[in-house]
Amino acid sequence: MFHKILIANRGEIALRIIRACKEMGIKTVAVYSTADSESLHVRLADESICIGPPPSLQSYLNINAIISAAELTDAEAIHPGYGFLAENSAFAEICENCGITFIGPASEVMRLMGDKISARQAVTREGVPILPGTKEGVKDGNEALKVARKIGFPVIIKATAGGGGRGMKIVHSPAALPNAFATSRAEAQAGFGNPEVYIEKYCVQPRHVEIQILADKHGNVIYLGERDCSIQRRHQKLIEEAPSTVSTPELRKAMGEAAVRAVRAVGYNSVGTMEFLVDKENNFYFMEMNTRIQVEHPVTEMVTGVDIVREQIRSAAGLKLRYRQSDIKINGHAIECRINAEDPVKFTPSPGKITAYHTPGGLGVRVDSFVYDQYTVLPYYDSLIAKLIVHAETRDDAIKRMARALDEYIIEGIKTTIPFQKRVMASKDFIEGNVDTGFIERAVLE
Amino acid sequence: MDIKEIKSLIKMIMETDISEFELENADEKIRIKRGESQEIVHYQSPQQVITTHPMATQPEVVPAAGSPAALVPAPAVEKGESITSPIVGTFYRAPAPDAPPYVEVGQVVEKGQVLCIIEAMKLMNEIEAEYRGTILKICKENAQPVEFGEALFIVEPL
Repeated sequence: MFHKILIANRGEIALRIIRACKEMGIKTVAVYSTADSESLHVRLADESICIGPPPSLQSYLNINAIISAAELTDAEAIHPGYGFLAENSAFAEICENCGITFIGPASEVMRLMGDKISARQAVTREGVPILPGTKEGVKDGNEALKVARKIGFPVIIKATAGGGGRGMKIVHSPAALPNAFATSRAEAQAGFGNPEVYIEKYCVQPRHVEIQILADKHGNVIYLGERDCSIQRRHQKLIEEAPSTVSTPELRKAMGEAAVRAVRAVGYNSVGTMEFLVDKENNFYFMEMNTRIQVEHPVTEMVTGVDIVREQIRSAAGLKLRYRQSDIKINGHAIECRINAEDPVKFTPSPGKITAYHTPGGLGVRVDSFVYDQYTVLPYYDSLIAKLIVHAETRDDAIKRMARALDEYIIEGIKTTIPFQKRVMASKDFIEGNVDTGFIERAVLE
Repeated sequence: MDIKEIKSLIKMIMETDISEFELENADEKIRIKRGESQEIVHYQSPQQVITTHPMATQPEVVPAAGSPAALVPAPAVEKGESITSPIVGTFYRAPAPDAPPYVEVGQVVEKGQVLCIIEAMKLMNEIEAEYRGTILKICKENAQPVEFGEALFIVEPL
């Protein structure tokens, strides 16, 4: 097992990793920008190193500074968290070359599964369904039209190098296609430095269901059930739950086994999430794979009882998985609300000093947060300040518990998304389980 | 106010749970602030400003205005500007283990002159002086790790 791990991240995930390390007797090194010197992850780590000024490029994305910090402190492994360098295969490779264990998949596997086109090819080889669409990038307008007619409208044009919901265009008719194709390429070039785009069938009102996988370095892979992340605003998740309301034991098994097959075939290790779109007939289609720990991992932890970060660290240290697939049971229902420092109506960022802070408690309530009373939320980084997770026996109970917990949560001095999430918990559609990726747009328009 | 009066004022305040006390009149102003195990006493008269930061729980008393500097130690005011590390790495005073150090205390350095090396990931980064000045203090020892923003030298600009 590692003696010391450096956490190349900040905020709530840095805290999450430090907590797992502490429980395992592993020493922790926090890295921070000058803006984060009072941050909780810095205070709770055993050692800390300032790596740069506030801008991420010069601090949390500064590979040289982070590797230097690991060498100075003799850290044997680096946990990248999520975001920042977590899916940067160049960083994973540099760690490998410097003799530091990167807590995640091997760099070439990350590269393979991180590129949407090569990932689609890899999973298709294992019989995982993908949305009808192109297997490679589309070269020109003529090919685009031919392909789109074959798939059947509506289609969606996506940038290969895109992500986070950016670089996507929906096209409803052949007449609109040539223009949309040209514009997409130009936007992809401008936004991601790579004009390559591919075309897929567009699912109307799909559900976003993802499978959590866990793999060790000995070829053992299991799935930990699914999460439903359909409540998204501009493709940014706001509320997640496990299990999904569309899930049945058969669907879960089919999706889980498909994910495990694909992941095992490419030699994946560590944790990862395979994202699927599920249509109204409960057909599932592979979308993409996230080769890292995800923000919403706590809902899976609550329903399975598995400490995902701990298992990720154990796997990176070369230990075999402690669980077989048959050990994994889904108990009860969990919901997570991402509390962002944003206006609850306009979703504009709201940094500033938290003048009063009080977290909810009680049975089945979990708060993963790095903020505290009198803490100043910084403008430099993303707006997630807390995750509020509840677990209960049934979905109805979980909704009531979340509504109760949101009522108890006090965060004053800044605006947060709490009022919005309270409205969702009270909404008929949510309570009845009618959630698809268009939910927020409709809710906001009401 | 004389020393006896100040002493009894402090004693009086200690007996209450007043945490901050300020008194001002035409000639004098006194502010006494209590913070956990430290007492901070500021006494200002038209002639002098005297500040003390005693370490123990017992308050120290400030001499009256006009007396020469028989003061309890005040924190040294640092002259000069600090040169901080722009990167994370290991600080070296010389280009090689057996070579003489780049600079010593008291030395005048020119703009662009190399002051030290910070080694990061096997690369030796030379840190140069941004202006002409005198080295007042060398803040790190040879082969010590440094983080971003940490003070390496105190330099008095010339």
